Parts: sequence; structure tokens; C-alpha cells
Amino acid sequence: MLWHIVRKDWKLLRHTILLVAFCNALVRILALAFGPFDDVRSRALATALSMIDPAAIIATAVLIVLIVQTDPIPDGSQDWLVRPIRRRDLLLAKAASVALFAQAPIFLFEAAECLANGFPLGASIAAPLGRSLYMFFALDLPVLALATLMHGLRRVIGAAFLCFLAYTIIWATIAQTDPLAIATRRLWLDTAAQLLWAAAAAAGILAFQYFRRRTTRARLAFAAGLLCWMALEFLPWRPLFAFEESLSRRPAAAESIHVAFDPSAGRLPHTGHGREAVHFNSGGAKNPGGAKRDIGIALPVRFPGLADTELLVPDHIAVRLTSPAGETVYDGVTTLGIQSADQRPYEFVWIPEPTYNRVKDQPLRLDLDYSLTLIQPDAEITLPVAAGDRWIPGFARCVTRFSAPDNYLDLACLAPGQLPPATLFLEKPDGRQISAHSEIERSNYAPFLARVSGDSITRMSANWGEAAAGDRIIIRPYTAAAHFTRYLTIPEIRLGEWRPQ
Amino acid sequence: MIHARNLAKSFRRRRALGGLSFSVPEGSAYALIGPNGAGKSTTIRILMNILEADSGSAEILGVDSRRISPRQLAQIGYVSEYQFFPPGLTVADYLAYLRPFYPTWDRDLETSLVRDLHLPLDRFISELSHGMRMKAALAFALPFRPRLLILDEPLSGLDALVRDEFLARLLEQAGEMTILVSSHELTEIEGLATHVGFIDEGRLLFEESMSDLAARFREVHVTLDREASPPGSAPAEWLNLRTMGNVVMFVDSRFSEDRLRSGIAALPGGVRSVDARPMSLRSIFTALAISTRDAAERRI
Repeated sequence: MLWHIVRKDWKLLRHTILLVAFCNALVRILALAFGPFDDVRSRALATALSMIDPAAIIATAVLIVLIVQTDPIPDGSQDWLVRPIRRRDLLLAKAASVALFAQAPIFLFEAAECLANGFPLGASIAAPLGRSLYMFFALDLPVLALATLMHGLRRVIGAAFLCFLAYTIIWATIAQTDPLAIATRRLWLDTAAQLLWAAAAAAGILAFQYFRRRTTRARLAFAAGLLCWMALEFLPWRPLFAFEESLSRRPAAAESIHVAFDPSAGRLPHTGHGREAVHFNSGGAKNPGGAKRDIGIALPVRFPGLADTELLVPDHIAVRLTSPAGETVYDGVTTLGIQSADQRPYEFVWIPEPTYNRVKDQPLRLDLDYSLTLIQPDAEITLPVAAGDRWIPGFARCVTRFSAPDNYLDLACLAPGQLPPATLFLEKPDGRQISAHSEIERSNYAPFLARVSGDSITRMSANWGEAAAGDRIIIRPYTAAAHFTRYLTIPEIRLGEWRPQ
Repeated sequence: MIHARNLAKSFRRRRALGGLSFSVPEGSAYALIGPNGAGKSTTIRILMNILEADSGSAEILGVDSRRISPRQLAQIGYVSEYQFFPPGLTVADYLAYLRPFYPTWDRDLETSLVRDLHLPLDRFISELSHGMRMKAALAFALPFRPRLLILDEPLSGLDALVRDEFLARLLEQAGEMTILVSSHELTEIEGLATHVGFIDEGRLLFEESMSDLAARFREVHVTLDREASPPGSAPAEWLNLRTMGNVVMFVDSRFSEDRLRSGIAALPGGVRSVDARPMSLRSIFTALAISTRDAAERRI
């Protein structure tokens, strides 16, 4: 009877299903027309895409609500309640309708987009399938669950708006209170935990509603589930990173790497620019001090043991300052850019001004707790600048072009699914390497593409001025080899001595 | 076929049912009657497991109503004025949708129902008038020859022609099944009901067969030889006792000639004539409703 119910839903909603499918097709067609390069034409398309893409997601969510609302749960006057319809069949039929009518078109259009981009068939199916599965658990199931709690599209939209509002307010409050708590969380595990929680909670609510029809309790469960889902954003870092460590591919690779305080490097000269401009090249985290009355101290640190070809990504750095009496003067987090063997970085710690003024001349103990990821290079990919358009197995489809009149070289790479972290260079015939921006910052080590909006294609682009025909492009992909922790304790330090001059 | 025991249900502070018990014998056509808000629809919804009782229990087709399964639902036809069908389907679409769920679905019966009820198969359910929708509801509830048919205010808001069509079609199949019907349209269901249960404020005041009920109730007019005055005390079974000129009027709810005669003998003054007429279900209902209301007002 499952498919019989699905057929009925198709009959009732076929116009809406086709309309939503058209919206999703339009998004993919625009994305395809977007092309690999980030130029003016593409930017105009990107603007159009940025408006239509969320609209298509909302339309998909509305369709899911309508699928449920063809047989609403809370309303006691619904005819299906007095028919010999197995609740299990009805629930499975709704899930199947969502998969078929809402998600399958997205999958098909994305697969077509991947094929049109010249990706191999396997990758063109695997990447959209992975994202569709993610969407099913992250978006479709929760929307399905929410839709069972009310009767009528307007009520569901109202409830969804309230959920969104609550989420935004709570999130904004937290961001205001402790921005680094959010900024330094690049770990995919909390996303995975949220995904699992959302899927499990939604499945529970669906079962509760379809088999028991206890709407009031289900609504309370939904609200509680939403709060728990938000709380998962703030899972304690330590156990999460410990789990991440256990997933390390080559844990031994990091054994020789240490972190050391290097007072011989001296005090950081003040550049006259803002604090972030001095040192923060990570691009991800903004320091909370930027907007508050915080004082930055810059501590010279080193990472001995890091090989020349390796890079180190500081995922999270916890800071604690303790007075000789054992009082915690400051307890927070900070950030640091990606480190290579040749760097002599300064670790910035931002202290609230009143605290700084109170303790700047006192001897303090400083503890820095680093959560680090070692990334090691894979085989380099070399492309002639006039490579044109080619598929690089195991990496991406890469396209190059020269732009007149300044002979600018553009490189764009598109990959089905996740693109590995990579650095890009233009190598001159004499061996000089000119780097473009790094794609490592965007890496979050996630084994799946956690993306509701957009598509299953990861894009990367770079450009170099004054490129010549004999130059070569070098793409250096990396693999996250080891996740590990290191501690740095400075038994006695006076903050005033390390404020940039 | 149906047994309800001490059903209680409240909606927030309002008590809808307060310990309702009744039984519907197999093969009967049981009319659940009572004033608005008496708890008829709530009772039916509990029986169908649409609502859950706060306490008490109900058994339907031998199964606890809370555990009613598709197996039982395949034997129960349900028609309610509040019933909501998929508006975007035509009558034909919905019949086609329902068919596979019922192993006993009779296509010939479906055809005859559609014909007799003059149902437009190609019309969307959303486009049907109320009367047409109720007829469609009957056509959706009968083709599988249910063992039990539950009708919740099925005649409400229907015009005379539609009522006749509805009842005629219902009566054609009435012998095959047990019927539980709640309705205000007492005149119409009088010809259908074999048993009646009267509920008020969520409690059953009485239930009995229509023949017993008809035998038990009489509208009595006693003409005296002088101006009648209300007696100081009257038998408890005399309801709605009132006087008009020489005439004392009441409803005898436990009619027997001997008892009536002895009761009348106690009236002050000579009795010129006694007229004890059988009552229609509507008249009985009205008398009971007035009596109940008056008793409630006296309590207040």
C-alpha cells in the first residue's frame, strides 16, 4: 500500500512537484552557466544564483510540508484516520514521497550538472548522492517531523519561522558573548553530531506522531530536540578532538613535532595596523578584541620538528593565565594561522584591558593548549599554463585561460564532492614559485559534504599576473595526516614585556 | 459490537464525558441522541481511536478501541459531517484510492451507490456542496459492506431531498450491519433506529430498544371538571408537568395503564377524560431535554 499512497500524493501534488523540480533545475542550469571562472559575467549569474538557490531550498521544504499535509496528523477530522491504512505504511510512504518528489530531482539535476562538467560517471553519481543523503537527514527529515506537528501549511511556516528566530537570537547572543567560541569551531564532528541528532530526533518524532498521535508531547519533544541540537554546537572541544585524533591516518607523523616558546625572537614590533593585520593570516577567526577594549600580547613560538613540506593547522588553542597565588587571570581561546617550517609566528593572546592593566607587571604562568592537525603533501600536479580544460583523475577538472590585456592567468578547478586542501603556485622557468591563495583554510577534514545550499561541486580558483607561456602551474594537494595536541607552559611571564612595541 | 465503560474525557477545564457507559448490540441500529455538547461526537471519536479517553475503556468489534487496527477498520464504515477528504482528488480518484485498502470492496455496490446518490465522479471533492459531500462520504463508507457503520451527525445541514436519498440508500443496506448513529434529526432516524441511548453532559441517562421506549413514553392530557392546579406532589416519572385551564399535561416516562390510572386518581378534582398518546422519538427527546434542563436549573 506504500506505493499506492505515494501515487495518491503524486496525483494531489504533481503541479507543485513539477514546479519545485523546475526551480531546482533552474538553479543547476544557472550553476552550469556560471562556468568555472569567477569573472564579471559569472558574478552577475552568481547574484541570480544566490537569490534562486535559497528560494529553491525553501520551495523544497514547502513541498515536503505539503506531502505531509495531504494526510495531516493532528487534525481529528482527517479521513485517513478511519481507513485501514497501516501507520507504518503511511510514514514510509511520506518518507518515500519526500525522497522521490523532493530529493530525487535534486540528485538527478546535480548528477547531470556533474556529467556536463565532464566528471566521470562514478563521481558524478557518488557526489550528488552523498549530498542528497546529507540533505535528506539534515533538512528533509526535520522538516518532515515539523510538518507532522501542525495542520496547515501556514501554521508549519509560522512554526519554522519561530524556530529560526529562536535559533538566530540564541546564536547571536552567544556570538556576542564569546565570538571565539564559534570562530574556532571548524571541527566537522559537531556538525556530524548535529546531523545524527537531527535525524534521530526527527525519526523519533515521526514515529511518535504516526504511531501515537500525541501532538502536544511531540511539539514539546521537538522544542527540546531543537535546543539540544543547538547545544551540540558547544560540545566540549577536548572529547571531540580526542575522537578526531583517533581518526588520524598517520598519527606517528606528528610525534616529532613540538611547540616551543622562543623569547630569542624578541618583542613583536608594532606595525601600526590593526591587530588582525599584524599577524592573523588564518582568514577564519576574527579576534574578539577587535571590537572590544582588549590588549594583545604577542608571544614568539616555534614548531620544531615540522618538515619543510608539511603544514600545521592550529584548529583550536586554549589559553590560561594564572597568578602565582593560583588565581585564573584569564581563560579563553585564541587562533593562529597555518604554520610551515620556515615561519616564526607570534601567538597573540587578547586580554581585557582592565585585567591587562591589573596584571601586566606581575609574573604569571601561561598555559597554551594546542589542538593541531598535520597536513602532508600528496603528489604534486603540474599543469602547463595553456592546459586548457582537463580532468585530473583523483583531483578535479581544471581549466586555465589567459585574460587580455595584462596576460593574467586564471585557473579554476571543479571537483565532485570534497576538494582536498591544496596550495597553488605558478612556477617560472627559473624555478621561482609565485603562490596564489591557499585552499587549506577551507578544509575541515569532514568525510562528507555537509552542504544544504549550493551543490555537490567544490570550486577553487586562482589567478596570477604577468604569466608567461613557459610557466607551469603547480597544485600541491594535502592530506590531513595526524590530529594531535601539544601543550606549552611558560612558567613565568610578564605580559607588559610582550605587548607589541 | 460496541461496549463503552465509564468513558471520561475533558478538554482543558471542560468536561465532555463523565463516565459514559453504553452497549450497542450486534445487528442493531443504535441512535445516540442528546442535546448539543452532550458528548456524542467525542464518544464516537474515542470509539474510532481518533481521541483518547482520559479514563474508562471502549471495545469495538471485540478490540480495545485504543488498539484498533487496520483489520478492524476494514470492517467499519464511518461517516461524519466533520470528515475531511483530500480536496484535490475527484470522487472517482478517491474511490480508486480507497478500493485496495478493503479486501471486501464490492465494485457493483460502489457503482449502484454512485448511481443512486447521483454522485458526479469527475468532480473534485473540493467542489462538492455539503450535501453532495455527505452523500460521497456514504459512498466511500458502504461499498466494502462494513460490519459496523458509524454515523456522526450525518444528516446535519442536508436538505430534504438529500436526506431522503441518503436515508434510502442507508436503509437498503441497514440489515447487513450494525449501525451507531448520532444525530439531531430524530424524525429521520426514528425509522432507522432499533435502539436508542440518551446522553446529556457526558453521561448516559438511559438506553433501551425503540420498542420499549415507544411503549414506555406517553404524552398524557387529563381533562378535569374544574380549573386544574399543579398537584403538590406528582409521580417522579411524570415529566414536564403543567396545566392549562382544565387540562393537566405531562409526559409519562413509565407508562402503564394501571399506574397512570392510580396516579391520576390522586389529582385534585374529578377527571372528565384521559388521553395518553404514543410519542415520537423527537417528542420523547424534547421532553427529556426539557426535563433535564429544568432539573439542572432547580439544582442551581
